[in-house]
Amino acid sequence: MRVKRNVDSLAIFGGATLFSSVKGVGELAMPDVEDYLRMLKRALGASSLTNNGAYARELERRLAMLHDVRHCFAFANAALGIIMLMRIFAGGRRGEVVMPAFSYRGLPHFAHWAGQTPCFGDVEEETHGLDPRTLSEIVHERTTSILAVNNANGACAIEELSEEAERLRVPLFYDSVYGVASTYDGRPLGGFGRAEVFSLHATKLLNGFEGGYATTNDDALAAALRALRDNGTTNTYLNEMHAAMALLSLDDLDGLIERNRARYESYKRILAQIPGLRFVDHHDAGEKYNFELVIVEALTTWPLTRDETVGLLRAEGAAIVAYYSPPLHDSGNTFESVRATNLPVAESLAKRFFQLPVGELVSLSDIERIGEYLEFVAASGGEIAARLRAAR
Amino acid sequence: MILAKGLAASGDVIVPAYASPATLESLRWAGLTPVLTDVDPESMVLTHVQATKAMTQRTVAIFGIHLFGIPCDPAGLDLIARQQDCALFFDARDTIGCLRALRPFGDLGDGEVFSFNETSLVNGAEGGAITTRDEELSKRLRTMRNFHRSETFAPVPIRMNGKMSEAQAALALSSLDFLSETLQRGRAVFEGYEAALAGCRGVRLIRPKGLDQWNYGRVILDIDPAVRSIDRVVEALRQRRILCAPPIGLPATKGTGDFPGVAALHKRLLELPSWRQASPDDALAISEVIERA
Repeated sequence: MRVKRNVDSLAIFGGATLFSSVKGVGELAMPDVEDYLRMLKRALGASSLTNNGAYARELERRLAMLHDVRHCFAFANAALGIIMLMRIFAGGRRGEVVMPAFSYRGLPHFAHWAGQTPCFGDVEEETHGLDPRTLSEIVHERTTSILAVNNANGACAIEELSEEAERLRVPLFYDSVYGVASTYDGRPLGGFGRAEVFSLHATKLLNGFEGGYATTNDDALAAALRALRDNGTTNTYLNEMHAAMALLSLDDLDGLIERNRARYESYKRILAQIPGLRFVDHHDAGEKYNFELVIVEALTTWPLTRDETVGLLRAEGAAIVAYYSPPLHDSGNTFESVRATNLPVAESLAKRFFQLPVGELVSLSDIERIGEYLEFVAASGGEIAARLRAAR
Repeated sequence: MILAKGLAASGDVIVPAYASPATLESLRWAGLTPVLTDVDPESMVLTHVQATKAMTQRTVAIFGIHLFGIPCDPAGLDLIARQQDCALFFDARDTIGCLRALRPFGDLGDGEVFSFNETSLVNGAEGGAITTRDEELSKRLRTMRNFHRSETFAPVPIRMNGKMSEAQAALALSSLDFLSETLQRGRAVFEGYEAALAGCRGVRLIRPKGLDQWNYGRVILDIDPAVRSIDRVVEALRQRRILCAPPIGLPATKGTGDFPGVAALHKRLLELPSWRQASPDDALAISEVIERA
């Protein structure tokens, strides 16, 4: 189908959609179904489908190697891993967990499930990560842990955050969901802070249907995690069906990253030609990445707002979203939270970015078409904006 | 824990003291304070009698457990829950395939919880379900179990990643297809035990009362301490590599001295291998070991 040539043909104004099938932002890695069925039959035959089974343990071993860490614990999902760590660090106290105000909307909920109050700190303009300078204002005796996030565009200021956390004597751990196979200071993410948490959800680099894992080099913490998971009362095990699926993604890790990179570089090249949009590249070119996501900034020179652009693309069948919007202190949660006095960077960033379709179901030719579409929007933006706003 | 959170922000929840530590922990994760009560010594479940005694101003919910499929006084608990304006929900894990008043479980109280763990009659490896008649609660639960913007149907106090995957659902569906065969197997194994233990003094297999149809899901032996020693039975079985344990272990911290009904259950009940691990012939062999112990 030809890319749009006039404003009437935009799906938001009733035209046919650009895509005949939904193009999402998740990796959706797909193994060979026969390989998967073979693994599943083995697990079914052994009547071992959960409770730290053979596949889950093999997965933990291989992930520990990948991340170059001593310990890896698989969980039913990353949320449970994060909540478990918050609980361990809190040691039975009700306190606060510091986290970035520009980040994944689940994080404040996890703090609440762990019996803690989320405390939002501002982030850095370049890394989008928790700003080390915010800590001296918001960390105090009620702080039980600091959760920093390593985003898709690169790790946060790990060295500076570690120094601050150590000075303030508060445990620091990371949500590195977008950092599988990425590095900081030449070393794989996974061994920094007290622990790091990763996801095995189908939309992430390693597809386990659902799942998560925590990595650590801290032996005492590892013992605590093991006790909580194996002798504790709450069932948080990664089941064998999920572990088997994740192992198959792991087998194809290099292939996934290579294909991600091809899509990423394609978008980078195309977006460089579109005035008003900025391709958000990794902030440190010297590190390794997995090229999972494509994040774009709608500059002030772009004729539409970020949200209007998201609406336009969603109407065309691109299941994209605004990136980390709204900021977490403003996300309408009714449970208690506290925050730094000023969060200007988080508030600004939350208005500016969106994601574009990526993953195994998005082809290079899909990306070319998105490029042509955005070129058209750039050229006809004035008319599109006028029509959108008149309709409201 | 998602059901608990969807029903009540905070407060006390009345729960029978004969409950697994995991059950109590889930209630705590939901921000509720479990208030343990005794069970009826005859029926072995929480009834309105115990619940009424435990009720205070702080009570916001009652959590009943249909232990082994025994209905947990649904009518009695429903009455007092409504009188006291508190939520009522049930652990219905042991009731898949059971009928009460010719109806399946699932529509009692404000909601009921089921499991699709690999030990369940419907096996999804892991996973579970909540059933409810309450439309508004249903919208809240559908919202609370994930963080997707598109899956937001009602305002909720908190959200969580609690979704089942397609892999689990597929396995559970296939297990559901085989349910009637599984139930038949369960019955054959249970009746094997029943026949073999018919003449055995001091033991009685528990068959839930109050059901029109039972699922034979769990084989629970009630051992009379005046006649037989449960420890000797366990040891005799262990020597033949048959590992049996009480259905719920004695809690590590709190004693059950306050709860004579529960204390009796801890002392008397032993769970035997059911359809998952045993054939009717195994049931015969196991019964012989028990008789000789």
